Amino acid sequence: MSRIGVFVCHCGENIGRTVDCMRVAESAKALPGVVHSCDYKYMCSDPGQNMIRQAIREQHLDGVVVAACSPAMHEPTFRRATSGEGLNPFRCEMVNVREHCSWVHEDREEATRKASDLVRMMCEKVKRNEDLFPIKVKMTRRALVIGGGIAGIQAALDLANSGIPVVMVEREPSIGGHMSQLSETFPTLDCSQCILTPRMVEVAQHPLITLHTYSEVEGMLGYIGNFKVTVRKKARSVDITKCTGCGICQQKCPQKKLPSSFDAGLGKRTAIYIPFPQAVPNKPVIDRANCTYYKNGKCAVCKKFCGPDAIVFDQEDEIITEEVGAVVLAIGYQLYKIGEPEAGLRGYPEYGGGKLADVIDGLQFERLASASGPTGGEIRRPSDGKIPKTVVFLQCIGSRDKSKGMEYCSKICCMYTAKHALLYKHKVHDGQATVFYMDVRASGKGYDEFVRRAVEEDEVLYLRGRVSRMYEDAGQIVVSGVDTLSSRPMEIRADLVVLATAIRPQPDARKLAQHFGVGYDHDGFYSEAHPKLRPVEAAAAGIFLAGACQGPKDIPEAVAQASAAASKVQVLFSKEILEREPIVARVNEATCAGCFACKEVCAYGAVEVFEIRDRQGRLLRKVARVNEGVCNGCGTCQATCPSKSLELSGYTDEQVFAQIAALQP
Amino acid sequence: MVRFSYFPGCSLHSTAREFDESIRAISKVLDIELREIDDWCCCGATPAHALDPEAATILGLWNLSHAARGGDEPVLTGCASCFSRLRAVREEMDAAPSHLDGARARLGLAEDPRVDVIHLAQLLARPDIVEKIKESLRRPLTGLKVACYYGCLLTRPRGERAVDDTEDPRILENLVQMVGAEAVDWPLRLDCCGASMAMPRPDLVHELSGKILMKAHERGAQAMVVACPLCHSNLDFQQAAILRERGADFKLPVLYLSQLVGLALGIPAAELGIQRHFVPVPVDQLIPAGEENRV
Repeated sequence: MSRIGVFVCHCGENIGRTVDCMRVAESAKALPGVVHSCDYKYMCSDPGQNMIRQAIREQHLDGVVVAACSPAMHEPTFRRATSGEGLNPFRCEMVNVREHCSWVHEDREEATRKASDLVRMMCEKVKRNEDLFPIKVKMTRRALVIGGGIAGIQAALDLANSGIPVVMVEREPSIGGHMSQLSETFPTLDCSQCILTPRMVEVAQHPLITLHTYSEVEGMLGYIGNFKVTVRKKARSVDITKCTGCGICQQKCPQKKLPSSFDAGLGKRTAIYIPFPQAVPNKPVIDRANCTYYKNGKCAVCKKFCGPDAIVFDQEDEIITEEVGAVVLAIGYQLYKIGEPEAGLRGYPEYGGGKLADVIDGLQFERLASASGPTGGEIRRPSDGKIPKTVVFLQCIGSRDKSKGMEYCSKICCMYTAKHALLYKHKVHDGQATVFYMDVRASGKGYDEFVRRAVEEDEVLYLRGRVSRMYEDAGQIVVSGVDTLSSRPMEIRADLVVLATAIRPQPDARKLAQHFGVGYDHDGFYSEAHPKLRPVEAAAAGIFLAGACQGPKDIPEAVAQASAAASKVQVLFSKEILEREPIVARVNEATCAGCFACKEVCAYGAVEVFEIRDRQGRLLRKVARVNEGVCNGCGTCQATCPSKSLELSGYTDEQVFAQIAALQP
Repeated sequence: MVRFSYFPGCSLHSTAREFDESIRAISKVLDIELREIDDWCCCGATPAHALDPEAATILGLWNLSHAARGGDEPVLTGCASCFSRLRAVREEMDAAPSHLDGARARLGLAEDPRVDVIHLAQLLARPDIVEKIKESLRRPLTGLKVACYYGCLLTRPRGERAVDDTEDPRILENLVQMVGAEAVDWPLRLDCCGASMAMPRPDLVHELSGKILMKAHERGAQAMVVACPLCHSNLDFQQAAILRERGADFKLPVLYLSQLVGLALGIPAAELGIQRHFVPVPVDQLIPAGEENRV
């Protein structure tokens, strides 16, 4: 006969107000197998926990049922108390009478009855609980950071500085990400390059960081603590061990008119190029699609002039495998394009559909305003290089617009638009800056002050309203919209228009997420395991998120999240051996028919094919086996298995059916 | 032979007779049979749908149910406003707003008359009709520079079944090119002409339609093509007064799309009602001579 203790918590008034906790405890006393039952105001407090421990000790309990808040909140607390008395912690279960009862019901009588029912059900389960022991997995204490923008850099440096070896993979020829393209940063206006480039150098020089630039992740095998990641190191056509970064190849390359993606298409670069002077590594790469040598076998001017003979035209992509124990995804974002939107999104033909030269996006304005940009920091418009005297800034382009396919707020645009308008006024004193906005969301530290400064000190004109159409007329852009505060239609003839276009996930974000078993929302931003309590972890164990790949973020937030992700990796790596909750599926190999329906449905790739052989090595049959390191205990396989050969430990069919049966009167 | 229930609407029987005449004329050449809806009434445009959505729905239901009584062919309209109203009521049958039941009850209808509603521009863009137009071209409008003017209602209601993209329609441009003319690139093709404000606020119409006329002329248009009698009234009937106010001394002929197609098919101008416009259309100066296609 079981010896179960029932402990009903009032949670202050949270539960006690709606549920008669004393009556719940009283009714539990009559349940078969229950030898102790009591209630208390705060069961999670020290005296509360002591009540549980004392009962285990004195009543020789073999099962504990705590009717209180959510197990997500206090299951570890009560299981710790249970194991403190030498009882297996998995013999302690919680009944959620707060979220499932008191918070959702008003009628005290009914809520109390429901709470008693839930307690009765859980007692039936606990009677069938078994001792379970944490799964121990060995770990490779080395982390992979994907993406070399500010989030990736921060995560990598935090990890490396705490002694954890890091592999960083960056797709572009240089690390630095979007932040390296920015001019000044809000709200303090420090120079983006000045605060970023030293961090980039630190990454390159750190003895614990292995940097793969111009490289992409192609696949992943394994599980938490034991990932094997395939990385394609794309051929740079340059031997970077020989290259000194002198830059003569760039000077001599005759192909000089290619659009520079670093300058957001506003500047030009050569076919062999270092993306920007402060690049890390400061080594060039040949853009094979546009290089004359690769097109028709002639030219090779760069090779002729290269002193250390570092040009290797026949260099091939290299595939390498990195073994790591944790992965930080920090792949950043791209900007929505009004002319060529992604599938499922609509563009803005009403704004010229990307064909008007003097209608640019935020990153292009950053390059115009940047001292390292194509105009040396002077605001000159793309079409004719003139200094624009009237600039109109439009916020929420794509963002917060269901009809364009994006309902979310891109979050950073209110601030960078204020910054753009202010920088413009600082550079063109007699210019007029006008901002069309929906509402100004400036909720960070010092943010609203910054926007007010743009309005009050720099006389930026803020108009609340939308722009319906834009077209080119006599060398200007006619911007027609509405000022909804004065209810007047507005028509402004602008020299330059800057669109605060939406933040979008990277084009291949979904593909990468699929490699790592990471979820994403319908916009393609990566999903965190819990929006409040686990904001930097992916649902897949061992994968962490940092920066704008999880949702639009400004620099301080991306950095904070990156440091948080790094510290989560540190927690994971703080032990020699990884312990995981034993709530995993187990296969009864005697009855498994080897249909592998479980393998089909497993979202985590935890089911493996195991071959049963006799002593001579002859294959007898194939059965499913669950890799305990990978299994997340979701139970899908259990529900799928036609021969009932899979059971989720702690949630066996017997336990669940006993619970359901207990509900029947 | 393709068949349609034809909904002319009030304008096409009065101020826009030439729209009606030209639709009937090109239909003969293009082998389209039009059966005018028996006992049709007002489509429910501006006054009704601005003041009383149920009244607007009742009017639309009346027309669609009469169309359905004659057969299940789609309803064809020329007027952009009629199209917009009838299409909106057709879509209400799927969205089922609360006033729809009341409207149906008022008309004693057991079920919704689920006939399709299409606009002439959609018909002229249908692959089979496009083929037919190409075969029947007798007087291609070579060299004619046309400003396509959509106004507001042709591309509404928006959505999957709209005539074309609300912000970037190409259907009229495609039509203009198909009949051998050139569509000029100009920015105000979707702007408001002032619509029924011609009565209470003629100054507004003068300003809005004035901008449209000036811009089309500035971008080199020799003619404008429209699909709405109200737009036509503002841009044609009011044109002389508008341009006089602005001190401009050009004349911009404004044609219905059916007239443009009719000319290209070689139908004599008189059969297309072109002489009814206030701004004269010097057909022989605008387009090269071609074969006549008298039906």
